[in-house]
Amino acid sequence: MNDTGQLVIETAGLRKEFRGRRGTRVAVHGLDLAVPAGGVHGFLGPNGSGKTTTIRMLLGLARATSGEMRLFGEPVPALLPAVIDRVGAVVESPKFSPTFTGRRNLQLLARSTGLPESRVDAALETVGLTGRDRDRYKGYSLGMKQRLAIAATLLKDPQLLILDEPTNGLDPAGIREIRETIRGLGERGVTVLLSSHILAEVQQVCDSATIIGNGRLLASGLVRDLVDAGATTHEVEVADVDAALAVLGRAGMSAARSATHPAGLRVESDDPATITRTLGEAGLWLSALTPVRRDLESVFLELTADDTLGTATDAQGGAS
Amino acid sequence: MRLLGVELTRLRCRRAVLVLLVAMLALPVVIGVITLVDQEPLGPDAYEQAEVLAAEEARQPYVQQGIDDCVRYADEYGITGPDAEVLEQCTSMNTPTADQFVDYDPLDLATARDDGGLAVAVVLGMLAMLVGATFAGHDWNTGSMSNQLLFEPRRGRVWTAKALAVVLGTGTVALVASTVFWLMLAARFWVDDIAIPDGVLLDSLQQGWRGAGVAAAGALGGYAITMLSRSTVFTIGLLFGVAVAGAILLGLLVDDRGPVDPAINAQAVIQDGTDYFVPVPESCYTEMSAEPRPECVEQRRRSLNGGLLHLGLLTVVATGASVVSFRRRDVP
Repeated sequence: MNDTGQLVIETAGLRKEFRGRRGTRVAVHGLDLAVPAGGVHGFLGPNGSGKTTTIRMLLGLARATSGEMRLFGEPVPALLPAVIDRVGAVVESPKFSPTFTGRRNLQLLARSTGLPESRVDAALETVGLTGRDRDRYKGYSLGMKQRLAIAATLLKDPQLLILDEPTNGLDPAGIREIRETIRGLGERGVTVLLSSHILAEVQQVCDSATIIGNGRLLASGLVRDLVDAGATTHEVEVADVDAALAVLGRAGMSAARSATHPAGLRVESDDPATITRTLGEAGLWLSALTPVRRDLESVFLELTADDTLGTATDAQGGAS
Repeated sequence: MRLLGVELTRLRCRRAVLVLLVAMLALPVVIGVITLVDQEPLGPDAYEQAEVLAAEEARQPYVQQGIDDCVRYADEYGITGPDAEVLEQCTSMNTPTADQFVDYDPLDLATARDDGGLAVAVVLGMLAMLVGATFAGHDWNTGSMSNQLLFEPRRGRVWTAKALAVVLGTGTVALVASTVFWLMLAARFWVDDIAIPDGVLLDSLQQGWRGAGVAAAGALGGYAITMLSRSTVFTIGLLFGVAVAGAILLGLLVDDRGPVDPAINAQAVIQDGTDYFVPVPESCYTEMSAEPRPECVEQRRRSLNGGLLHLGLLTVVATGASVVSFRRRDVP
């Protein structure tokens, strides 16, 4: 691990094994994770890919089998107490005492670290729970529970916020509010690690992202770099699709019929001028040429469809 | 201190715990009321009357006949020794006493220590154990333990703060409850202006306080086992299993259960030593001697220190395993 000054989260060779009756299951395979300070960082991976386990190890809730972890440059879990006041986290579902009110749950957490009562009011207001703070937690909807969990993370005025599926159970308005809250925190200089399955949400909110699969790093970098990496596709509309396919094939370009448009074909090329010229020289005139932008979802699905180290290495090379 | 304050708040705000703590206060009062309804102190007038009746009865011919038979067949009565001693013992055995002529069950603090007083200590101990198990189980059941550790990751401190809250909470309630119980009984004497023999009330109160200590240790045990097992149901099942199967198993495995039976040792601590019985070889019943062989002594004594050592070891083992497990295992 080097250059820890700019990294808020850093892991090297992080490994977690679970031993059970059926043998040992490796949840995280030597994960190297680097989250720079500031902004919102997406942490993506299919179910069971090791995201939550990684987060739990970073927060001292689970013990790493091997490897190193650092938060704010400090080795954890050894020095976790020294940095925990700078970290807010929601891990999986919200977990509070059901018979206590939302306010009391937050008060007890605040008191345990010596935070003033005013923080509770501020956090409740930030997540819009002020009117329901004296209701028992067990009477909260899933969305309200989620908001309370986020309010708990804000008690400490954290510099690093780790959110594991924070919009689970929220209605569309709630999702939008939380998204704006996260973005706002990122703009204020808080580093947010956002683990989510909602890739559109990650693409909208995150500046950078890490994609893992089977406990291994598959790709990491700025979201726009991840999206732009790899082949670019153009959708072409032409009268004689068969002839166009033959011409493009002879010119060495990969093309295929469009699945959605009968007079269309998809050409894998990042140079629209070459496509136009090649078809025009063959007397095939284009009626439309549209660049097909990749989104994070397609990148994610591509990467996680084949979770091998080779894919990871390629993706990293292209995106980091 | 800050964490302890938080845990004490958690303890007193949890409804199930609160119900148990209220029960710890209420049940000794109920036992006290039942005792006072059933019994009343024996005043000097009532005792004098009983003495007169006993003296009259002692003049009946059958009493003297009984004494004569006893002296004549002293061996059959298990009495040996010089004639004067035999006569003394036979007279004592056959002469009616004033106690036999009291027409109600007299309230006596010294006797109450073995009856209601012990019952109060047992009830407090069991409820305190449930408090410890319920308090810890709630954190695991709701998953809020992980949330707490996100604010205070030093697990040793978290474990200790919770343990102290349980011990202080249950210990204080048990102390108050047992003190109230004995003062209730003592008040009955004071109301009738009947003197309590010297030192008896203090001895009774001290038994109550030792009982409160055992209750607090029980609460710590219940808490420690639940922190280890992460399930209140498991802890209750384990305690029930130990209470039922453990006693049967001990009976099968060892002759002298005193040093290993938690119930006997708890009783020894509560009562400043206790007597218990062990099975003896069949041959002992055919022997008639003034000095039986050591293995033929059915009644044994477990001392306060022996009880403390036993309970202390159990507590150390349970808390040690619990702390090590809590510090090392992943938290869900």
